Amino acid sequence: MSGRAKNNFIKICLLMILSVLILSCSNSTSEKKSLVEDPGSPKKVKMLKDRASQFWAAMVKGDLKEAYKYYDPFLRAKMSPEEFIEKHSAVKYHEATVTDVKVEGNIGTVHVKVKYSVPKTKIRQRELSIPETTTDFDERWLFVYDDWYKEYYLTYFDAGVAFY
Amino acid sequence: MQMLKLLMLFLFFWNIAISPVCYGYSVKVEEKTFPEDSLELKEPRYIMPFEDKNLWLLFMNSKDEIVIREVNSKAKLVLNVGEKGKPSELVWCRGADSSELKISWRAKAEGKILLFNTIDLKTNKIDTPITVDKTTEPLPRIKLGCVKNIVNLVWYGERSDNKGRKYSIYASRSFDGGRTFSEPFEVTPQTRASIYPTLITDEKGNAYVFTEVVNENGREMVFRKTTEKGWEEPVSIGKIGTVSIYIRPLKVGNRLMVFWFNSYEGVPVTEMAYSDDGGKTWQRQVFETTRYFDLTGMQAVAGDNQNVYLVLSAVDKSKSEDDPRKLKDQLLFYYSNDGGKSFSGPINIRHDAFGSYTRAHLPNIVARGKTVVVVWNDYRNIRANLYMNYSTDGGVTWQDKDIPLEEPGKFNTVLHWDVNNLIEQQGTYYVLAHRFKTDAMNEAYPVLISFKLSK
Repeated sequence: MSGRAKNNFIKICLLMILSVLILSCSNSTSEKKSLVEDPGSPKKVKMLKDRASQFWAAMVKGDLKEAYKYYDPFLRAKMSPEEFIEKHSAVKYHEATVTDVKVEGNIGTVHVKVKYSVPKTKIRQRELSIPETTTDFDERWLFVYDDWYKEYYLTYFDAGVAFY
Repeated sequence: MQMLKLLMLFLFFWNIAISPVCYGYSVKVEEKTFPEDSLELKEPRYIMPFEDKNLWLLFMNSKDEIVIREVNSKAKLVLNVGEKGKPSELVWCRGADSSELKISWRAKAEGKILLFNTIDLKTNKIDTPITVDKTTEPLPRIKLGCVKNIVNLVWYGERSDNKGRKYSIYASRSFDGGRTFSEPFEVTPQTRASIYPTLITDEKGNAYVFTEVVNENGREMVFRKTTEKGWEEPVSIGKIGTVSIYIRPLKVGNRLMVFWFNSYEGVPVTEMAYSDDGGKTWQRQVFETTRYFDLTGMQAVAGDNQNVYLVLSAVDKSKSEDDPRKLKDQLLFYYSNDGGKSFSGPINIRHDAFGSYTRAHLPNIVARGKTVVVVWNDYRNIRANLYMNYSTDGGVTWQDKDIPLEEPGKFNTVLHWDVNNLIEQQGTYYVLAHRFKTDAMNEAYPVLISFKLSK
């Protein structure tokens, strides 16, 4: 390689290294940037309303396999879809409407109005049934890296799976 | 062509493996992961800087191996090959030769034993471990300090006396670099129970121990020291509440100080005491602003003889049931610019508009003069992430935005609950944590994150 060619080669190398460095410092703003640092833009709010509506549509359809996908990843890492379906099939949802959503960073509060019933079922030797009942409540959703997920929370034990 | 290939290889390696990433901020962050190692999560792990350039990690893996791993080459040494018994707790200090590493741990086989070993990192020579003690039934709380050929070991033991099982603090010293140790000395013989050992070793090799003791009169914070003449009589710093885990001793110039977390009839509060006469007399202070704060983390460091820093994480028990701060840990930072005689009120170093809904805990801290850096576990992204903030004016003001040290929300990366694993080496900061492989959070590997502060 001649001296000039060598110089050009070194310049190209330096330029490439520089561009890699610049790219590596700006790659956090890549096209598919996570909204995890978004405090609550309309886009993030709409995402929550859509996700919560889809979740409740699956619950009304009785599609627990689909509903499972909306739960937080901490639950899904510890409970299989089969186990989830087995534990959550007692309650039948007839109607559900997401009436309001609130976003505070990665914490979402979803207000839902549902009509549900519990057909005759045996729990620990005791028979239980609840007729069609309408109620409304707040539930918590969590934005975990790429999307909103419903927090799996056991009200009876006052504990969730996610630690945050 | 050959050079071009090499260049492409270099760029590829740089880009995917070690490229500095900025996460939208001005601080460049690099990380090294060790997915080949599965950590024993409860056990301590450490960064060990050597000769101002090499970094080694010390940890216990899930196969009960005590591993020493060189960060750059990933060379691995196993300290307890062929050793019987399950190891627990792990402490280290640097020997007289800067490449000499001294490590102590506790193992449980047929009985409980306290082991000590020396490793030369230049030759990778590992001695056969020596048994320091098996008479006091050592438990996994050990402190170790070395200066030149003096090695101080302090630990918690449960040897029975004529009244039954007794929990006490014991110590042993070596004056030949750890080849031989003295018989165990009971540091707190007059007590009914004493369970939290602490240790400072000064530049002469003198050992200073602070511990909570329980006796007929209640609970006291007791100080005891040893010089070349032997152990002096214990000194009571005063009556205290019930201590939970955190006692942090510090020596700043000639001033000795100790911070502790205790509770009085269920009300938690953090306190401290200092002595300017070598531990003969003590002045006590209560951090009134910590009353009702139940601690989940405490670290205290000195930047120099004037600048002393205390950082805590805690949940505020005074909040009402419907206030998330009753459950979510927050950070409290205090600074002193008079060498620890007096402290500021709590400074907020975390900047998150929705911070009351998520935890910030396990702060790690390092300081040099008025520059102080804190790294903590932050759950603002729901997954556990590492965040950092820093001050260059002695802790008075901090950066407006907290700086994430990894891609926000992608991983669960967690600091050790007790060990302060943030160090500074020639202007670069290193923090050691573990990263879980999945959201089930049952298996994790070490991750070493480094960064430089922007000027």
